[in-house]
Amino acid sequence: MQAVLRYLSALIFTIVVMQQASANVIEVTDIAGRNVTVELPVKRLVVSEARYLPLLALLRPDDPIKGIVGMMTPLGWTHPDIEAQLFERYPEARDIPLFGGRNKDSVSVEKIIDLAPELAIFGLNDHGPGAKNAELIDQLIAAGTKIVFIDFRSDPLHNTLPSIRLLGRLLGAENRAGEYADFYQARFDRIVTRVSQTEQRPTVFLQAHPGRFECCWGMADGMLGPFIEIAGGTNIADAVAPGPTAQHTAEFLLTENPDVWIGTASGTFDEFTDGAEPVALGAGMTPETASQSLTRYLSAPEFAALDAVRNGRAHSIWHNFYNSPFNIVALEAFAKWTHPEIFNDIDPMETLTEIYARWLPFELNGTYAASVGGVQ
Amino acid sequence: MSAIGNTLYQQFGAIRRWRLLMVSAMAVGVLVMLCLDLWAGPAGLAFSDIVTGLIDPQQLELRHRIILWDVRLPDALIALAVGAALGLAGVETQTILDNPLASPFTLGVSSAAVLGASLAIVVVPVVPFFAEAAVLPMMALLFALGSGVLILMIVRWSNGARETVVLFGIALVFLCNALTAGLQYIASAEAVQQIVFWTIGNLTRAGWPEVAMVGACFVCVLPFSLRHVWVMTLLRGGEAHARSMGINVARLRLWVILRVSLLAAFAVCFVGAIGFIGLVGPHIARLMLGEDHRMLVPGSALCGALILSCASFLSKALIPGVIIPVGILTAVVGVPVFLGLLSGRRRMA
Repeated sequence: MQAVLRYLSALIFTIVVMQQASANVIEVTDIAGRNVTVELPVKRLVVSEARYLPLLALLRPDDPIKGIVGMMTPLGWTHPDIEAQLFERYPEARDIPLFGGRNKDSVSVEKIIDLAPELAIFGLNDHGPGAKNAELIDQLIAAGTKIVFIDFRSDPLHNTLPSIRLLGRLLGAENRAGEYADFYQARFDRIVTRVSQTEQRPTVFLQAHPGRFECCWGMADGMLGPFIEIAGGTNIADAVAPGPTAQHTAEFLLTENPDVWIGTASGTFDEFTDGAEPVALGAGMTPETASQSLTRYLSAPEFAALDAVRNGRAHSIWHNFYNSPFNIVALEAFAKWTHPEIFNDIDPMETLTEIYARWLPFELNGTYAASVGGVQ
Repeated sequence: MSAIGNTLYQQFGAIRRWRLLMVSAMAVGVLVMLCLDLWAGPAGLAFSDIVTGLIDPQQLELRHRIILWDVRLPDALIALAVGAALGLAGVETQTILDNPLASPFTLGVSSAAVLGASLAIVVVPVVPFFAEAAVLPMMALLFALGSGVLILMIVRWSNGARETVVLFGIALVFLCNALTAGLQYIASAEAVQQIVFWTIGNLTRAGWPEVAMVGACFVCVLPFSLRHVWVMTLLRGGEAHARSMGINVARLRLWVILRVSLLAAFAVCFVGAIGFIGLVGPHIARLMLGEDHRMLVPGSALCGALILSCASFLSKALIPGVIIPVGILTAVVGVPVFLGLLSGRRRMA
């Protein structure tokens, strides 16, 4: 009996020591500028929008949903194709509890507390709870959940890589995060270097949700808007818009007559087959149907008269890049479309294919960029 | 006696001439505003270019032709059509319900239109034989007309009791708003944004077919309104008074509310819920023209058109290149005018 007790106490001692050794507490500064101490490894976590799952998969390809005890929305709302692949390989992903609907007002704090996550990963300014939701933040912290904010949407130019590195540290995947960040940075630098060698700054109009929103919401200095300048273009909306986005008349477009027109396509394959108006890209779309969808939208007289459309310099880019760690693909596409003469050798779709092949446990389906009349 | 009679007659003549002058001034104002509205825009078209382009479109280069004929003209004309329809609907509602706070929106027409539009945005129904772009205004129109039918049933059922009609209308507003909020709750962020933009009201979404439909609705309804100007003027003296003169008020109420629902439904279904004009347009006209509906009815329509046209001009001119939705500006334009007139009247009194 005594031997057993001695054995047991020794065992408990060992476990406690092992736990103390592995209880590795780190302090990080999140994208909202908050200092957060987190005990590693994180065993239970929640994310706001499920669109961050591909990033978690990039960091932990062997088990993308490891430790995820809840999320606000199902992945299918933004990435139905990846959701299908995820469900096929990890059927338990179907059972991840949801703690909200499609916006921050629908989030149930009680549900999150009930899920008892050690860590909550929220977007600075996405459709879920943001850094300004003081009450929710306080309640979660009081309940013992650490919160970190990441961002690919408000200021993707400056926040993309820090967000990826931050998650890498928190999830014990610093190496993979670093590798991807290097890959991203090299491609980013290539664009900056080449753009610095040319004086030309073609004018560009970046239109949000063509066909879904009425004409013409421009992205000015918000979301993907600043990517235009990095890609060596002049964003014509930026000069006149009072905020990050603004609505312009068709007359503004016709008067400015930009060299390049880019629409962020939020239409889906299903909408395209229904004959719906939103310009479509993404899973299920082929290069032909994608171009067809764009060309159909641009056949309206106010667009058909634009030089960009007539010269085949009107393009569509997948809208979801606006809140994605893979937004380098959009930057490369913008650069290639704005300066075809110096970026002829770059193929943004190849970059996307490489990201999937090297880092993601998913297959890439569909088309994510297209040009009017089928010209690339 | 004849001297007094003469003075009275002369005074009446003077008032009459003054009112005619005011209505003509409003009409001229609408024309001037239309010109300003057509002239405003980032393209910097000269006024002579606009005149030439209106007479002979082929003389303009392609881009300017599209700007004038496909962008500016439909927007400017829908402002007039919607403004006039809401002004007319407003004055008739206020008189028939004997309630200065009433407007077509009190009857729930615009809230129903918003609900219909939200449903179209969130559910995206595919309707055979209808282009996708036509589904949204069609749903808005159907819901607005549906609310009109409900109100008409209430008018019949309550035998034209105006409190019942107003209260039912307000209840309908709350119900539609609640259902719209419910839809927003389950909608995606993009759809919620779309609903918000739609609700604010914006003229740029209108093209020629919309101008034709709203204009036709106004032109069809106006003669019936003009036919009723005498009885409506009589009604301003009080319902009991009108009844004692042999007017079937319940029946009149039914007809007027039918007209108002039609006008308001067509006015809001294409451009969104542009509030305020149906409420304040008639009051501005009343302050300038008095209660005689012979002048007040055309005056309210002109006043509505003038306010919306002015707002349309400002929506393009305030920040060149960017559109400020006209729904934001209608009150900003209308309230100072309204307050100015009110204080003017106070001084006179």
